Amino acid sequence: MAQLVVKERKRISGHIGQYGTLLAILGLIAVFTVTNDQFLTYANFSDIIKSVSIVSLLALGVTFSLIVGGFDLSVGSTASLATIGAAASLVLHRQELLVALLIPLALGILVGLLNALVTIKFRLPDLLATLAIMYVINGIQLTYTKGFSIYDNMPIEGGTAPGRFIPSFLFIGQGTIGPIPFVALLMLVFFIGAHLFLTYTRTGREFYYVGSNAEAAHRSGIAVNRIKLYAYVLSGLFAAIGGIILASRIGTGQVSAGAPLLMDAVAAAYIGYAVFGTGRPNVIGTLIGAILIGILLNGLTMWDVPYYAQDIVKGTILIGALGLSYIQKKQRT
Amino acid sequence: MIRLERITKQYGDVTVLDQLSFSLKPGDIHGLLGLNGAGKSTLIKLLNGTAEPTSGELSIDGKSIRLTPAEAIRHGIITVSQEVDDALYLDLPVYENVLPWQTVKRIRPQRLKERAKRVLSRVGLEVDPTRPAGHFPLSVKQRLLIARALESDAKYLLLDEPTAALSETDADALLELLQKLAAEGVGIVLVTHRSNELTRVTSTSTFLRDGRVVYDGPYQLLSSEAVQTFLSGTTFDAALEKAVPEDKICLSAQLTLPAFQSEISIEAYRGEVLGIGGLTGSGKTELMEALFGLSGIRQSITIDGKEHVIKEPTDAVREGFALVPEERRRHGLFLDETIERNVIAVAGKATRVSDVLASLRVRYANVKQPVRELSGGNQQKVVFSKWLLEDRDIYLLDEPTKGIDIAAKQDVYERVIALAKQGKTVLFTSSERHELERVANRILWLDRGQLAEKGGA
Repeated sequence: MAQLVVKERKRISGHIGQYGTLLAILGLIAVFTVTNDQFLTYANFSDIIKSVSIVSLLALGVTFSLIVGGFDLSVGSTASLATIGAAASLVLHRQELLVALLIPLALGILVGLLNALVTIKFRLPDLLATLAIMYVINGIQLTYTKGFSIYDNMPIEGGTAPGRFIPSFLFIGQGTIGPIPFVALLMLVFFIGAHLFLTYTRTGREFYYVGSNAEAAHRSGIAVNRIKLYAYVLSGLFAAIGGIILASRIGTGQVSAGAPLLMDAVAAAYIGYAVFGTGRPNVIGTLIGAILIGILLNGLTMWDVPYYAQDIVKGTILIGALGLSYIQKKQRT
Repeated sequence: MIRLERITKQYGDVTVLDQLSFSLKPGDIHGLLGLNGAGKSTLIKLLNGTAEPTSGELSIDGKSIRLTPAEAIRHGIITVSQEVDDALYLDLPVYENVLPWQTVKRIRPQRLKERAKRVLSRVGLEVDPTRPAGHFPLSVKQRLLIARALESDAKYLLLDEPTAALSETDADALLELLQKLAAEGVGIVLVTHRSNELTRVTSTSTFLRDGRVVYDGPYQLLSSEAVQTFLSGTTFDAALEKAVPEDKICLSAQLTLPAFQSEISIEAYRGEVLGIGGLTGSGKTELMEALFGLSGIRQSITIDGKEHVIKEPTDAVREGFALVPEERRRHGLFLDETIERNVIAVAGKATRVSDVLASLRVRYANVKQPVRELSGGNQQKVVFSKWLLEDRDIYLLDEPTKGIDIAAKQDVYERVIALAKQGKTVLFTSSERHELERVANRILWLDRGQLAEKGGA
């Protein structure tokens, strides 16, 4: 009899894992719709999608690092760096769209290479190494900007800044194609691309092999270090893309703008573990996790929950997501 | 006495143990036999409380009981698992490893070391109790676990294949220790595949097949044919038709083994099974790893008359090598992945997966099943399958039959010989000479990283 009860419990938690996140999203939408008549509007949903797109891209980067068995904590600061990079190109150096995109992307790749260097070459633990890199990057952007934001017509030595946020750049974060925000399409393209890459290509599967058992992967002839390097570079790259969208959305280069995104991104990736009940990092799960967090934060804001109190909710969600992934891991062994 | 009566254990729809009765008496050494998947591990789990029976009764000294892991330890039921490293604190000193923390009231290192020394001498160990446990070889680590069991007042010891990875001398010494403990009144379950051990030390034995008891009584009464019949339901032909090597050298290498600071040169013909024998620690694994680019230095290897430099496994794979590593769980498998994902890890394409699995007679429900659900022998075959999807020229099989049952061994032998008949070169290591004699065309014997002898089989 006792055995039956145990089995039943396992099965329920399995279903919670599989459909719980989707149910939670629907439940949240229902609750927020009932309690606030401004929630279920086009304007608000377009807002949600815009903020989700930024968090989800950072979370996508984190997911890549998690898949290979690493952990990239520097994505928030990389996004900030990209924001500053884009803003500085546009406002301080009066560059056109192409440069304003290439500079932050190059910075993102550079951070990825740096993370790869400390974790693979120096063999430092991923969590601590990327934490240290996070501080270094924060310091670099603060030093470069002397702690000030970069905005249109800002005063500089001998007058005002020569450039400005050009419309083509602002379109990325603010424009729409028909009724659909451009960022939503961008986000979908990256997620579908990443999903197809990881599921259907040889190199993509190698990411999972490395994360599952690096030694066995090595002995199967997989270039383990190169795969880990790719993962960190992709992580930096996606964080930079998130940073570009952020800069374009707010129209300024704010120092440390990406810092609060880190926890959201990590939580999204871990909620992703649970979505399909696999207990492992996966791209589609991460997207759903990011949407869940986006809806929740938007609804809380509409309830006038102050932003500092929202951190309590975020932290709690992360603990819940970690707990769920831990339970699933235990069930599989 | 521990007694199981009409115990059934199901996982989902699969019945692993079926109406099984079993009893373990104090002072007995009780042999437990069965092929992989017969239910031995599950029986051990029921005895140590890590699994609960679906139905049936478990009693200790006549009292019916529901065992949890903590409850089992309270009754003095201690397990020495096959994976000793999982049970030890490798970076902590020996004395902290052998003294169960529950029994330590006050931490006074000097006293604890004295106490540790006493129990270490009971298991025949004279080691410095302040050295980290990870420094010692497997044979010592096992004794550390037995010492820990004694310190927690073990009345029953469950040993899952303790001798599988030991050299003959170490295995003998361990059996002697077990006999001594049994004489002190400890009841012991000994899982092993080795018949000489069963003959020597067990007072009674239980054979499992497909979750049922097929024989319960003294092992010594059974003929070897009877043993095989009880285990598998059939008997195996002793002789295999060996491959005939071509008169063409395929592989020739002058290797450096850094671990032994030795040089070794080997040659193998196309279509040959080259047996490489030696005890644990003789350098078999190091030799295989050197060929596969895992020795950490550049090795120059001649394949079909062309010289190649190999310094990384990626180089070896490119030149047509395949390695089935000795430690399959740590080095060969992606345990979280499905069978299919494991098989295609090298070739990358998902065609012919079920054909390859069938050619090794892998028993599985579904290729999408996680590989961790398979029994040890079937897991080993999956590691092997990884290299069969794509044509390889040279197969390096490091102890491919270690810890798997005779039926699975037979499947591996047949596949190995079939590969050689296709013109592949196979290097096959084993610590058991008779096994090499069955499959190999020639046998090299290794000792401390050097060739000890050559000869045909």
